[in-house]
Amino acid sequence: MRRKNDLFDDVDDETVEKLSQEFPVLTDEEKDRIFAMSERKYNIVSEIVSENDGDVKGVEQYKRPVWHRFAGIAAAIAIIAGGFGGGAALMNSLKKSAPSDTTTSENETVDTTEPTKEDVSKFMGPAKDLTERYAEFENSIVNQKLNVDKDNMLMFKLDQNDASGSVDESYWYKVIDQRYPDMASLQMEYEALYGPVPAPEGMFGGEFTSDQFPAGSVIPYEMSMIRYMTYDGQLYVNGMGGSGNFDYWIDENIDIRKVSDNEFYASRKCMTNIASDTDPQKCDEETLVFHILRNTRSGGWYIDTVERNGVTEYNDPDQVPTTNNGSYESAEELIQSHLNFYNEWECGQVKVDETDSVDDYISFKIQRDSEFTAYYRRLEGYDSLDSLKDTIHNIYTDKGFSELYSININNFDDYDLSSHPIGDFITEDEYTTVIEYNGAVYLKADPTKSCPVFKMLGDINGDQTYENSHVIDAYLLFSANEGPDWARSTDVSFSFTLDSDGSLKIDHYSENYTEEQQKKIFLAKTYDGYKNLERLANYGVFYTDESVAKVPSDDESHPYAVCTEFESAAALRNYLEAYVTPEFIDEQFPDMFEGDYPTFKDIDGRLYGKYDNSQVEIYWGECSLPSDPKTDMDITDVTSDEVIVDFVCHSRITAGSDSRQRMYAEYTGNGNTTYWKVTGFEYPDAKG
Amino acid sequence: MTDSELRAYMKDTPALGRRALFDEYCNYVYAIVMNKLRSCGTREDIEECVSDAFADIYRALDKGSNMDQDLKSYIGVIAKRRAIDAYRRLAPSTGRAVSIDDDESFKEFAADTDVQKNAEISDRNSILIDKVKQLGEPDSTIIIQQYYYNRTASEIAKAISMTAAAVQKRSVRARSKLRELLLEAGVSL
Repeated sequence: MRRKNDLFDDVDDETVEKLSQEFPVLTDEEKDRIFAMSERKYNIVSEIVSENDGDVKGVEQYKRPVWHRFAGIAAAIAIIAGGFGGGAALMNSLKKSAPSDTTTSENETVDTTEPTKEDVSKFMGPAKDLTERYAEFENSIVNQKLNVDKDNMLMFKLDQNDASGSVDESYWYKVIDQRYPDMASLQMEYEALYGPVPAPEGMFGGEFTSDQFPAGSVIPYEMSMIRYMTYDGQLYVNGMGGSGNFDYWIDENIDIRKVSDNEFYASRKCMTNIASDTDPQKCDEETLVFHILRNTRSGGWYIDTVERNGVTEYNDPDQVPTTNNGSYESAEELIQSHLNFYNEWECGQVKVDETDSVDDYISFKIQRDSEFTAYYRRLEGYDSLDSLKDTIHNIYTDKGFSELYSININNFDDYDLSSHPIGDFITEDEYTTVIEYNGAVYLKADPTKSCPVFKMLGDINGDQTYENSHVIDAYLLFSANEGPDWARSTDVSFSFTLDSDGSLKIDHYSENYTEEQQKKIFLAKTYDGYKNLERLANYGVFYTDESVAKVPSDDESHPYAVCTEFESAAALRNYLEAYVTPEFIDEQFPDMFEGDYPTFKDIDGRLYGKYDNSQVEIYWGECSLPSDPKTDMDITDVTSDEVIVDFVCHSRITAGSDSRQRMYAEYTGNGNTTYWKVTGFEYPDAKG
Repeated sequence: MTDSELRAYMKDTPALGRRALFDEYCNYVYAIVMNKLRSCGTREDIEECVSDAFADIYRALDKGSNMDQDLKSYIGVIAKRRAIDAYRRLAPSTGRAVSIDDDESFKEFAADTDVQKNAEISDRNSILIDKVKQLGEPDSTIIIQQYYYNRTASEIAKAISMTAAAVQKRSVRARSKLRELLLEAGVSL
């Protein structure tokens, strides 16, 4: 495959439109951010226009907001440092740039007495000075808005074995800002504000050379996360964008609360560049509370901590909070973790196919009537059943897990096949859902499962807290092999409870389908079954080249081949009769099973079907499920047991070529897989 | 919401109307801008350009001009124009020379004279999108987000509720399968 972007280099307007409709990409957060930017730009020019009677003059005073790629580099580095031992040498290198801890003794202050209501005017000068310099520091250094030479860019590739491979490339710009010629000048600016304590780890990176890392070479993931580095003696800034969220002080007002002559708190209101949750057209305001101390030796003032909305920003990296031992702070975060786990679990159980890489799975043999190959697919991210169990225990109660996955976590220990070489015979008892094998965890690749349903969080609808539990109502988007599965996407409820370890866990999950939605789900399934019948009757049978056999047919253009989908004509008929009535098959498709040369017939214990490859293509080109049952599926009740369903079908290939289809169905109530069976089908747009 | 409803909404309650218009067309404008700036702009540049386009759109609609024109095509034209401006500004700074072939305005001049080439491109794209869809979800979304929208594995992972490692793995498989499907369809990469 060519360079990353080549695939979509020549995209025409029609395709762009199609992509935007069928693969919308913007997250709510991005939408809010871009919308807020567009509003600011619109309002600025609107104001200029109204001030100048409609005559636009001058330059837009729009200030580009800071763009957040990641939150809190120090926290990120702390997590990385914990998670990836391979980066230890690099982390040592990064630490070299920070001043040593011994200097902290110079900050001896402070007589912390009770707050008093004395005259605080003498603190106003240092408070104003420090908050202004804080603004400058945030806007230039933290938000990475120094002057840079954009033509002098360094690009590195990232080691994809590191971390999560979250970015592919790392860009760096040479700093040409006269205020900050080198790393030491950045460091001095930091110390002038916060005193001589180490800067958050990862902010001011270490020294590197082109001998170590030539431009274009592969660098460790940790290196891509630092903000500033010295490279061949020159200061460079990371091109991935700043991480601060300070924009500007709203006014000059500063509230001072004296603690002692050497200690006070200063509060000042700022505008952030974070779009407000309540009004995305605006950004949030915040009051920052600075805890300010005097250095009793030098007499200067410095910032000890900054608190934003009750959360303290520590200036000592040792105090930066790290992850919380795998427990989750919010139920919403827990839902996201559940969905991650669920999707991987579902994906892990899908049958192995030809696109799998050999590293993904292992196989054993089981002696049945004939030799059966049992495949296991590797579940990423686990080195033992214990690590898998830890993850499960962090998300679910035992009851919640067994309810969702129909397997008891306490039985996991019994499933260990490490004593068998790959390819060895195992017993039926050993052929279990999950196993540990040589330092990895594997899930049984179920040959009957080929199309997992992926679930994604749409919206959080409601949040209720009870005495010992918590319930969140959400909307989940489902996605199956055919694309978005609108019929099944639904409102759900998650019940959380405090587990024995004192943290919140998912204890129960339910999908809340309305009666109307249930009906649409079953009718959509019935429709899908009918479309399969249509394909098979029109010779769109799936077969392999090897299976093509020279069995006489009455139609040269439609020879027989071994059908790979069903074992016998009876099995096929049985499948179809779950979706359509037997009379319907006999009336509408009389040649399907009857006559000397039926479309399907059993020969020597195998099912043969007439094939025509182009019919499979036609089937793929048509829609199989309506895109969105809310709008594309209309049910009319004829009697209590009979319905007419009108579909609007969107072609998979040709945009705009929608077609109407009408299905007649009757309620049977006793089918194994569906409750509705097709009694008639029409194409109202078809001519003739 | 139809065009006339949107226009009426913008007239009655301009702030809410702008948001509604934005929600309706932001993915469209983003896709247009992405198509032009993918090779030379950062994500920040692209978002800037999209917001510029929307500011232009709001102002144009304020004036009440083009009331009869189809809103989507009108928005498409403004977005494309903004994207071309941004492309001209950004392409040299990242070391890319702007050749006449690259410049959209020149392409527009030549558009009618190269019908056959356009038809070929259109056919290729149609097959490409078709084959990407044949991969099935979530692989189609992974490929489009990775290759059209330049999203990282972790961003895609977040969007489709999977881990980044799983996304990367599926992406490798999906690419390999896509290559086969395209070769079968006579499209070489």
